[in-house]
Amino acid sequence: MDSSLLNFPWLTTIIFLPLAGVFAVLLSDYRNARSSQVIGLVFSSLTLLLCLVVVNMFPGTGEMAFTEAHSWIPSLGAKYLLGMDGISLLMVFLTALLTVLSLIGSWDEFGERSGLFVMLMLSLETGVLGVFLALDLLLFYIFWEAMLIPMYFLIGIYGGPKRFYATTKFVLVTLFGSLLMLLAIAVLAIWHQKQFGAMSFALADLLKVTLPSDIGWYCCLAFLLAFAIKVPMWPVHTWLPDAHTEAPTAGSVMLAGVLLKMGTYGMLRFLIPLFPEVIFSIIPWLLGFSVIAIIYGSLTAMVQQDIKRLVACSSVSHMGFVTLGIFSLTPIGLMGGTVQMVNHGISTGALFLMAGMIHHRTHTRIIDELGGLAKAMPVFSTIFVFFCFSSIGLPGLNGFIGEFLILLGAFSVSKKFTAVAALGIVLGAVYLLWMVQRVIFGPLKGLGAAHGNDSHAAHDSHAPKNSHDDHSHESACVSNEHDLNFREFAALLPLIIGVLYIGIYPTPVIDLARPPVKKILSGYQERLKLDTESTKNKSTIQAPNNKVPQGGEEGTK
Amino acid sequence: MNLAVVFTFLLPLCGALINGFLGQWFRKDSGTVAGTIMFGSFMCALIAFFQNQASPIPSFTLWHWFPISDTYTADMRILVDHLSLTMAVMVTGVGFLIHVFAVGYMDHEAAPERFFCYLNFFVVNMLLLVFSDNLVMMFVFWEGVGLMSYLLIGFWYYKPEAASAGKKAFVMNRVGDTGFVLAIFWLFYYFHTFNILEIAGKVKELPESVVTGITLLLFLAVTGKSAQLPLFTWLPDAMEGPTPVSALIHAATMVTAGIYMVTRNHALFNLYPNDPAHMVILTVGALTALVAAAIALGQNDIKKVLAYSTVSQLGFMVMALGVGCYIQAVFHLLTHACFKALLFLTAGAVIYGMHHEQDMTKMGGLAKRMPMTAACFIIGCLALAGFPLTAGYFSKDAILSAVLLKDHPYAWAAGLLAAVFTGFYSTRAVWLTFFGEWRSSHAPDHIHETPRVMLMPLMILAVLALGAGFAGWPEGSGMLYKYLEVTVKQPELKGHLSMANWLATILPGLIGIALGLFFYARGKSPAPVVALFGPIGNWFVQKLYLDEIYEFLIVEPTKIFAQACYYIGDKAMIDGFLHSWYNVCAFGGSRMRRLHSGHLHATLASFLAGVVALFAYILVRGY
Repeated sequence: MDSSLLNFPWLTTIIFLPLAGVFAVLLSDYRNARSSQVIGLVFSSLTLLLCLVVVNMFPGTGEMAFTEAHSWIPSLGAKYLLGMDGISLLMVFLTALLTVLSLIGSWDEFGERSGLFVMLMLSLETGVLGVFLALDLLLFYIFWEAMLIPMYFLIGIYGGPKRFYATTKFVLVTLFGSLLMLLAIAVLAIWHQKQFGAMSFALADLLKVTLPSDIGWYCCLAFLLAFAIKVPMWPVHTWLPDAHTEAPTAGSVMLAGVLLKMGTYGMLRFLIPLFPEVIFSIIPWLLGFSVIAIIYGSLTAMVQQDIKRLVACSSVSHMGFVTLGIFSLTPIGLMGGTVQMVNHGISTGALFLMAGMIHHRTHTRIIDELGGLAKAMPVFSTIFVFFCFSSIGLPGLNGFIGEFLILLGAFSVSKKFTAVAALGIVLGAVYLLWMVQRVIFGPLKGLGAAHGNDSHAAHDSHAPKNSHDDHSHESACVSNEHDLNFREFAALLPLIIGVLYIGIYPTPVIDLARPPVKKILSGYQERLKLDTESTKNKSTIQAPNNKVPQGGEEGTK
Repeated sequence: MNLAVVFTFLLPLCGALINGFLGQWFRKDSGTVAGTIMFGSFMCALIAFFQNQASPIPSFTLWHWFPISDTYTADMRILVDHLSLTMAVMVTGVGFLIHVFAVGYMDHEAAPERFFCYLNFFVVNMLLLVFSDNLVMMFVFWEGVGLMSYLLIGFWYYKPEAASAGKKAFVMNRVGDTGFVLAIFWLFYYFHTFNILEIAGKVKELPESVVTGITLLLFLAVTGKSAQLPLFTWLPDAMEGPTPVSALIHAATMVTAGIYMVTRNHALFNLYPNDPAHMVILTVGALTALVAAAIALGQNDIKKVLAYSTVSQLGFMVMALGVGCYIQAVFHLLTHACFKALLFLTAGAVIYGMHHEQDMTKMGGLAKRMPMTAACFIIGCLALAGFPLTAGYFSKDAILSAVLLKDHPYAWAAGLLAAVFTGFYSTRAVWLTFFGEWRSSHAPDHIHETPRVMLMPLMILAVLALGAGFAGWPEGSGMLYKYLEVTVKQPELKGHLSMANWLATILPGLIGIALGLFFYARGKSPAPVVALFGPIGNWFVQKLYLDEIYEFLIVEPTKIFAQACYYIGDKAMIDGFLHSWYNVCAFGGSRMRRLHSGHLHATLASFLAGVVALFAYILVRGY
């Protein structure tokens, strides 16, 4: 490969291109909604295009690619370090894709207020991309917090009726965790200074720091709390249903699709490599909390009346699967967790987009006020059911690959937890299909808000039992004016392709995730060996079970 | 890669895609397209069958599906052997006939292309399930047929009962499927492979407790898919789907997937034939056969009778699995596919002729108006009841005698009683539908013989229902046994039945028929006889109240628990905790704010107080 191509600052360009879009909107006329939207779409599409270019050049080894290193705050030893491995690549791609799609998806949603909306979305994209590419903890932290600001306004300005409560809760809870993380980052940097003579925030440097066990504990818990809130793990998840429900469609898509993955990404990139021994000692707890999240999230999803809130609660359950995979600390489980991060972004993102479309047509998202949409919107309904099944984890679609690998990995660690988590698969089918039954099937209702008397006629004519006559009569009187339009279909098509692609031929995605996963695990196991040897006498950190961390392959006898 | 095998499932896939994407432009002909394609698929299956006779077709990989580790990749791989080919021929053959029937049955439908798209896609899934070389692939299509079943049960989605029945079917199957995945994980944990034959080769290394656990987990999946106790209640509800669907999916093919799966993994089940798992399987099978037959006695809906009858017959097959007689189970699976498809289709023809009336108490005397249909139904019922020399007689007899030879008299007795019931409800269904007086309030003038396109498949199936049994005759050494023994290794049955026992296995069906005639042929009341038994009979008429029991024991508590999680867990406890902190801060802030009153003297006073306090501290503690 041409070395000038490799030396080009790809990652910086990717991160800041959306921010350039913000300035472009400002320089043109942000009060002109259409022009701002076009500019936003162009810049986010360019970012996506760049991601595609990077995918093509990506070497696919476990090492960081496209690294950039510049000095940034010399007095603190903070550097501008960027790098990309397979996991970050997947996340960056997902972010760029979902930004474009949610811009397309909410094209008609805000009318005059679109200018600011586009700017917020673009700055959100910059923040999130930075999180996935930063290799310096201070830089990471800044992106991590910077992304909160646009999200705060996205929910607070464009959200639903309870937006102020939701956005305040979201920001306060998240800030609480991340401020503790900032403290822990500072402690790590200071200990680096103690042990190596100079402050540093670079991940590679901080990996060499050995902390006294009590400080290690506190730092680990601080990181864990920050990431767990973001994921969110049970029991720090209650900000999520509120934020997702009140956020505008695009906000929900970004929240569920990308922002939650920042938590699991942080676990993979920082938490496990930095604090292997503490993590090892609390694995049963982490697995337990993940399993609780799976079951609990599904149960809470069952009782929801609002489609968006239902999907939001299901996110808790699905992210529970991701953390279950990650904390199984087996190659298979980690691979599954990574794939599931992508899957959840695709499926849940699509479901939020479609919930927004339902709201746009019927002015309600309350399940009981809806029904029989299949009649009036056949294409929409087909795609909606398709994404529900992808979320349920139907084999052949994307969700299955992730869940299967996760459970397979977790099985070699704990049979009991896996058996309970497998119940989550049943519950997933229960709440989603129940929702489908009430919203998509049955007699038509809910479109009345848009078309006064029309729906009454449609509703009455559903009463006769005789299906044949009923059907022909129905299809005659319901036109498909409510069905998907071209723009909406364009927003969903890439996600449909993604679902099928990962479901049928997931090898490329798994191959991207495998080398970094192996690297994380081998680093983890080496550190653990080193630490257990050095602290054997002190025995400050008691492993609760005396098992050696197991690789999946060790199952083979 | 064998082209005949590939085209067997590729053709229906093309059919599904054509009808799915382009069908709306040739609605009226979508059934013809799907049926023609199924005929092609059936021919391909036959070609593959005979090719395999000439020289065995090797297994081949379609594509590498996903990597599990550096050394192992889960593949989409086709396993061709005698068992899978037998099943494939049955699936495509019966599938083809049902497609032809459906062309007539669905002709009033506004959007038949959706129906035929689903139906073709179901066949693809079923074929790939049968051809699966590894357990993950089998699971994929196991769920795939479940999906198609969900979509086809809910085909008339605007009927709330249909939508609800579809969901119920999918969810109850999922309960079983958790068993399947856990079994897969467990096997992978030991062998690091999903391949069925590899596992079969190494399976002896497993300790007995593990084998028992795995087989029980697999059997859990069987109880879901093949509608056994306690998970069978979805199948009667599934009758909400169009009748060709009931014939294809809920009688001939999908529900037998569980039987096929156990037979496919027979090496695992063969290992410890006397472990608790086999007792469980045998007991569940016998109980299901008996209970479902008893429930069928009390049903008035013609499709419900057939549905419970299917559950009961599946119970017989599971009994055979429980005593390790897989070929007998597959034999009954094949004959059952013929005669039960026949019964469902004739029932469909009756329902079609009656303009969607399914209640047998509102029929009667139809034999005069649709004699061919009546003849087909009677043949089906004779086979179902096990009338000597029909297909059902040979296969059911094979199972019952195997159970007795393996020394399980109680299961055998349960089977006999179930066979009496079978004869009884079959006779009742025949009599109420086709003989006696016309009982509906509408005039029967519009009722006429079934159209030819629907009658042809019926006649072919009727011939099979009469003759297919000879494939497995004589017992233990017939053509089918010889053919399947190559693939399925099962312990041989020792000894022979005495004449009295043999009589005991053929008589129950006849007794049942005789009793049925005794009660109904005299034309008294169409009401179920079990109702005469007071509360116990009523218990059966009400389907044992199983739905209500599940509602009370599982569904409602789950809902309440879910409500508790959300309203108590999320809202009251976690959010309450957060809000209380918010309130503490807000309260503290509002009090602190009073310090900043802006009055100069107050500020000075607090400053002074601070200075005094500081000095006091220094004086007390020293420097």
